[in-house]
Amino acid sequence: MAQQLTSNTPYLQANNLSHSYGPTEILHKINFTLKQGKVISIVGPSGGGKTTLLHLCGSLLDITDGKLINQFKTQAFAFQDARLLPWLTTLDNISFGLKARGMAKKKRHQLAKDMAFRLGLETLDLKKFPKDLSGGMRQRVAFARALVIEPQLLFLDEPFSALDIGLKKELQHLLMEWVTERQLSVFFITHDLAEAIQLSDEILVLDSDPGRIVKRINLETPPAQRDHDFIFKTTHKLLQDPQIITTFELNFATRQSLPPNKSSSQREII
Amino acid sequence: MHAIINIIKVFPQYLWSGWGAIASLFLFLALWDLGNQISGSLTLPSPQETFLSLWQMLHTEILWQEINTTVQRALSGFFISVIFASALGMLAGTFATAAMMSRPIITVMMGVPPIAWIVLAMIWFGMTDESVIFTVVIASFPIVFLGALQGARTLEGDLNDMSKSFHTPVLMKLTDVYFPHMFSYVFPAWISALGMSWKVVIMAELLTTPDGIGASLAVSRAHFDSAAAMALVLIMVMILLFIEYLILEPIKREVEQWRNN
Repeated sequence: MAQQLTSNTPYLQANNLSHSYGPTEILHKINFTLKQGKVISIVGPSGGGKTTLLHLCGSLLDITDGKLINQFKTQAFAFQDARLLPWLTTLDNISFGLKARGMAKKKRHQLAKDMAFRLGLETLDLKKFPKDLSGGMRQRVAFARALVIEPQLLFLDEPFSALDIGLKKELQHLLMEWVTERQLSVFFITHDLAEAIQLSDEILVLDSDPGRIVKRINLETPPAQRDHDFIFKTTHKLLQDPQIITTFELNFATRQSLPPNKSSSQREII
Repeated sequence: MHAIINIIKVFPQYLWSGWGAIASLFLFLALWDLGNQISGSLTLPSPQETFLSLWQMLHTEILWQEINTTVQRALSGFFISVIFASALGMLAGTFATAAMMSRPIITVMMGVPPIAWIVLAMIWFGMTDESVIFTVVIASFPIVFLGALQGARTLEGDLNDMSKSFHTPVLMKLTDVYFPHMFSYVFPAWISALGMSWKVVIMAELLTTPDGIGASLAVSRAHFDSAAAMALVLIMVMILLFIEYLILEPIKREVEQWRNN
């Protein structure tokens, strides 16, 4: 689906992206296009190559097979674990990316402080080391660190999975604000189907062995209009889908497997 | 610079926190005195006799020379092993094969008791300074080497990915990621190695050299001067406590306040 994009807004495009560790194929011919201001979610079972795909797209891994076009000028990551540097204070952790760009100390600390306050951190927290922060606080710091560099493209590797429901909603809300207001593009990995339905423009279902896209779901309802009812109904509907049942191995009661679907993927519009 | 100021600033407060330790030391003195009353001065001189003997010793020129010699030997050995073991350990940690191959060798080195190294050193270097320093180096080397190796082995990981994701320049990666990480492994190893050096240097001196605190200890044993022997033990302990609690511990507290403990 190497489609030509006519507009001059930046995009991230994977063309037949494959990856192997030794003889084991982890990813098999992945294709997608992420446009500016859009959210693509990758859902699928653990160990299905989701993180490998994210690392390939974010240039943390070298591409060996296939092609990747990344036109976004700046990008940032938020990982499942906060990955803060334990020897830096909250303030220095948040301004890490700014320092890497060579920004002067005073300016980067000011920006980091503003971002910290926006994410609900307090003045007292700024001098603390990660060991003195709760898990939720650490994740806020990690988010602040990613957002403060004002990335055009954000890679998220299940950053909400360890958070309590309140903080999860708060960060998701902030994320969607950035997507609509600043045209942030998000490449989002999750195993939570409902979360993907709530946040994404397109959901790619990644089955494992080898990781391949078996289903694409386009969500055309604007994210703001996706209420609990919508999310619940859509999740319910998708969980009836035979392809999703096989991918997530939800058929443990009957173990009826579908014939493997390696070449093509279904597309659905909701 | 900021760290140094901070160390000095909290130093009085740190000293104040030593009252508990002093109380427990006094309790120890009381038990010691009790021991003296039971066993008699020849076996265990009383604290009073010991401190008197110590006081007299401290007024002699010779004792200070002996301390100087011993400290110099211990520190030379310590610094040699810190420099080489840190560098080699880091190098070994960078290459998986080197790490795999060096571990058994280090285990063997650690398995040989220091007293055996002293005997070997006496055969190889004779009754000289080199024997003592060699033994100190050999005894403290594995501790530092393992610390550095472990530090370097764990460099590549999640935090490295994170810093890569921000396109961190090489120099900043060194100062903000690699160095603090390495330091957190290597610094505790240095401290243990220093303690080890101090113990081994006295043992080696006792057997090999005509000077140093270890040699003085040998002389007091020959003279059956138990008060002098106890006084020398006190000197050794006090020097170690001085280095550890008045120099290293405040530094450790400042540079490692991010640690969980």
